[in-house]
Amino acid sequence: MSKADMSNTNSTNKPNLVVVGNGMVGHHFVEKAIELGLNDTYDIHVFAEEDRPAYDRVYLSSYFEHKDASKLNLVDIEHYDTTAIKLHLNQRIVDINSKNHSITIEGGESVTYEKLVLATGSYPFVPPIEGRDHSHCHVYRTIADLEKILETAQKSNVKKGVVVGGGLLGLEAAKALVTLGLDTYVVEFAPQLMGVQLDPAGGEILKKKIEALGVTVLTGKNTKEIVHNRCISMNHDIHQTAEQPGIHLEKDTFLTMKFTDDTELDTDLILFSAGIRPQDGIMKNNPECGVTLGGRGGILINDFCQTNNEDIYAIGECAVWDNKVFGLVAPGYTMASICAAQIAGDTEKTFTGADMSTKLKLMGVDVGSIGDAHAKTEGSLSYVYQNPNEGIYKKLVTSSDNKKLLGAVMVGDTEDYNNLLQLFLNDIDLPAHPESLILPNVEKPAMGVENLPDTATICSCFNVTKGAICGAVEDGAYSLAEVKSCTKAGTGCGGCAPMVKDVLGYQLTELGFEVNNDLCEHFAYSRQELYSLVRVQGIRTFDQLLTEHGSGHGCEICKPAVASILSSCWNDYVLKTDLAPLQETNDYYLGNIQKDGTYSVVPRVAGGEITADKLIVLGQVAKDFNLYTKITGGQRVDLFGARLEQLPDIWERLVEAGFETGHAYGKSLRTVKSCVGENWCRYGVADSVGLALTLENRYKGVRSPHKIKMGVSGCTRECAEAQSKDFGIIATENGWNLYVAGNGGMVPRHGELFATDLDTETLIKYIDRITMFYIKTADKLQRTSKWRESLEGGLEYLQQVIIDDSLGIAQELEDQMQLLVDNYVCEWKETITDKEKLKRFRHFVNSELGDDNVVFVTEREQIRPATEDEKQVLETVG
Amino acid sequence: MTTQLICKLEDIIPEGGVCALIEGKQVAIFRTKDDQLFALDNYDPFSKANVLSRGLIGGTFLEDTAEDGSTIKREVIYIASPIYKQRFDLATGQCLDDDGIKLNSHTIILKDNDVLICLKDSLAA
Ligand code: SRM
Ligand SMILES: Cc1cc2nc3c(=O)[nH]c(=O)nc-3n(C[C@H](O)[C@H](O)[C@H](O)COP(=O)(O)OP(=O)(O)OC[C@H]3O[C@@H](n4cnc5c(N)ncnc54)[C@H](O)[C@@H]3O)c2cc1C
Ligand code: SF4
Ligand code: FES
Repeated sequence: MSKADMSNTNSTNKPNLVVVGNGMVGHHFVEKAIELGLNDTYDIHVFAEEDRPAYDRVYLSSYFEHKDASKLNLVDIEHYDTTAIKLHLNQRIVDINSKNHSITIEGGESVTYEKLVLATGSYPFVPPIEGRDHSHCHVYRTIADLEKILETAQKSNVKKGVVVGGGLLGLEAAKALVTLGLDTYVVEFAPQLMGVQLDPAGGEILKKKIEALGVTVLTGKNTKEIVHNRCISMNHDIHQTAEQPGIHLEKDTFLTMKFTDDTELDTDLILFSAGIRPQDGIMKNNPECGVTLGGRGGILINDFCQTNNEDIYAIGECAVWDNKVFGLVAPGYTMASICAAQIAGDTEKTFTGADMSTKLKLMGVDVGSIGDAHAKTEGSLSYVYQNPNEGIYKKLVTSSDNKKLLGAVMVGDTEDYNNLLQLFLNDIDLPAHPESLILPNVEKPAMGVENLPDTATICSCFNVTKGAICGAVEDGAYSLAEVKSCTKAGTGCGGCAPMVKDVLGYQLTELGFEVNNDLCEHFAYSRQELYSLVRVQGIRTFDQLLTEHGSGHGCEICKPAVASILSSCWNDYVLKTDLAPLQETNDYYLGNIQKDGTYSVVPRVAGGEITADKLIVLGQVAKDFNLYTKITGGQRVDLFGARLEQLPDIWERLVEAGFETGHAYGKSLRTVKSCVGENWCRYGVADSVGLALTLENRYKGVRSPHKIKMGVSGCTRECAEAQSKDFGIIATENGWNLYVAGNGGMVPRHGELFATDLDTETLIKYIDRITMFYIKTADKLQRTSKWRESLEGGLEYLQQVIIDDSLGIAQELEDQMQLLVDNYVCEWKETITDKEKLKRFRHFVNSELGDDNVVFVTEREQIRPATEDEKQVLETVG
Repeated sequence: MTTQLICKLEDIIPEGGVCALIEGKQVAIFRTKDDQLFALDNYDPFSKANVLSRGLIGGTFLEDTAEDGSTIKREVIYIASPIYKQRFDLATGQCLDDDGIKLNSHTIILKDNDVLICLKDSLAA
């Protein structure tokens, strides 16, 4: 709403509920107010000093990675609109008149209120050091601050950055400076880092770890002056600095910090992170306003979040409760709920303080702090475990009788954090030897979720208890996503997500659910069971399998899965009439569908070896059909942007030049990556390319539960990254070493050494057997890595089955593989010679035209799909 | 009622779909294994691409509550988009994964072996 609209603020008959500040807590208050229907009783007006609605300050630093402020947004503006919340951006409140029940907006207008909620947060404290007004001195609180930091850091002559303050936020800011590519320093006044949360020994380990990451940490340094330099390496900036007072030195950095111990530090940028102060400026500037402040600033509140004036509330970081300001979001959210309940007339709920335990990853270092970290409680006992070699430090603080946990510190390893926090929060009795809780290699007393009381807080951001999560599961929230959306647990800082998942699992078992491995609603069998049925009963069609062993119509899950099983068993041409409609579009059109409905074309380039002539053909075809070309991560070339109706013509050209399909669309062998090997490489001990070609040509086209990738390296230097593949082969002086079940992708896994020094014949035998055994026993869409992890008995079991033939099926596995190898056909070669099959490669059944919604624009000299906005523009122009 | 000839029945494989250009609009036509025919818009509002005819046909049982409070199970035959897999009821166009989305559905007639579409005003316009 603009200022001109302000006349509307008193437009309805409803009294006004005014909220000052639309930060994280102010926004949470609004959400709670809506939940309680306060928007029916009141006209709710929210005044925000910033120019954007509330955003997630906790994740502020991620802005430096994505630079997209909208990703941090918390406010659903439509929700504000439909619930008639009036948000006034860019409107700072400068005065309160508690006698008249009114506030004044900067610029002079005033608005009356019946209830007033102050949620003005806090501001970064900048120590009063001379020279701190330089344009390269920043703070770290708002998106606007980050934009300014970015602007400074991106200047080509800005190379060094100093963070003043080694607390939690300071270290987060230091990480941001590292991300921005600056040579980073942390300057801390106290003798240690994170003095609030850690004890000196913990602080020392943290310092070592952070220094190992290339950040210089200076503790015990007090800055007395910041000198603005005349910068010699940066002509265009001289002008700007020259006009400012206090310029002394000619240096190649913008600034010089002088410390009280007479040492100096040159830098180009300074970030102050020396603590926060409650934002109480409205009251400070208007002592007559009638709201009492605390001795050290901040708005005093009682257990109802009320100030000394019963119609004025304060919540979040601007409030002082029991002499304490809470600099975390969770206590602020609690205050917001209590305040909303109070205004709605529910006076039961009161604020009773908050737990300030924290766990975070600072610059890749795990740090945790619980309760009384400094062992200040009288008579308390401390247990310490220290491992300087790995940089791990853990401390437990217990009550004098050794029965209760009072606090804990963890640096370098926070695995025990959740357990300890639950012991602490729920006042659970400690085991006989509390030190066992932090010692490595000791059987930890079980602290699984089953032992927690229902009142245990699992998610502290939204104050969700174990009982609440269990209740939600009982009411039908059977997945993590559902639990999150109905309880909000895990949707704040995210730290509790693993616990939430455990509680979900626990409650599902309590309710008697079994892990259901049915393929889908049409088949009450696992993929493995269906595979056996198909093979043993010689079933050749989906309909036969559905009639004999399933029910209903079939669906997008069972159809492709059964198609894959049928292919794995019989290797029939995938576009046979009764197999074709089972295939996903990728298999059906023998290409990968793209976001705009076009397809990609990936010819096989076995082992990545390709002749100049073939490369020229690829280039020529791409040029003739105007396709986007890219070298893939699998050592071959991908051609994108082929329209359905172009696919046959493109493939006709490629097949004619001797190419085959690369099965980039299939759940089957993708590529066998190779390094150049002994023919050229001075270290190679075997012909890795030759073996890659043999393997790729042997297994191409074999349908499997998921895709399979292989790699062959010519020596132990491993340039083909074979250990990240389903099958990795590394040449040795004496033969081949075989690694299995590696994976890149979402959950990377190193392959495990399966057998050593094999000759080529044995190697292929083993791969035949493992692949077939995988096809027989894996779940749907299960990569070899997950499959291997699910094998009871592990690698050893697999070795027994494959090498020692413990199940007596080795010969059978080899024979079945040989059948698949013998039945191989190139699907594209088969398709382009079949007039009937080619019919399907038309966009329209009744017209030769193409899809006019496929539109390309040019970027970096090649095509790419036009965005919706670009399409609109093109339409209006065209 | 005006109709327009689209293709022959054998042009659509059982459990498959084709796309037809009808008065400038793209319509996806599906044939189930028991030879029922359905027609929906070909445009997938989720991926914003004209691809629904290339999806997979499936069936699922949904529970409806009758006026007297009893529940009735009914099988819905749907098409799952090939891009992000949202499902649409073939008979009504209703999206099964998002109550707020419904595609236009069209009437198809099989006469001898000809697949015909009934032109609605919306299509003719
Ligand atoms: C083109 C390519 C990226 C590139 O430009 O380099 C690519 C592109 C796709 N990848 Fe990939 N992947 C490509 C190499 C990789 C690699 C690297 C490699 O193979 O060395 C990996 C990690 C290694 C691995 O698989 O273990 C990789 C891990 C994935 C995954 C995650 C698999 C996992 O186990 O977590 C998916 C998703 C899936 O398969 O479910 C995926 C899926 C996809 C799909 C098929 C997504 C889709 O469904 O549309 C992409 C479409 C390809 C197309 O339209 O042609 N792609 N993808 C690479 C093609 C290689 C090739 O020549 O065939
Ligand atoms: C980089 C960073 C990382 C953090 N990480 C964590 C974390 O991991 N965990 C955690 O719990 N907490 C974290 N915090 C702290 C957390 O962000 C705060 O506790 C929380 O934002 C407090 O919310 P608030 O609404 O009280 O204050 P704010 O979010 O600061 O909101 C106050 C709003 O009021 C506005 N305002 C002030 N005065 C006026 C006025 N006179 N008129 C109108 N509007 C006004 C301000 O402009 C501001 O938008 C982090 C903070 C930062 C900066
Ligand atoms: S990494 Fe993701 S975006 Fe890139 S090609 Fe693979 S699937 Fe597509
Ligand atoms: S504790 Fe932060 S989201 Fe649950």
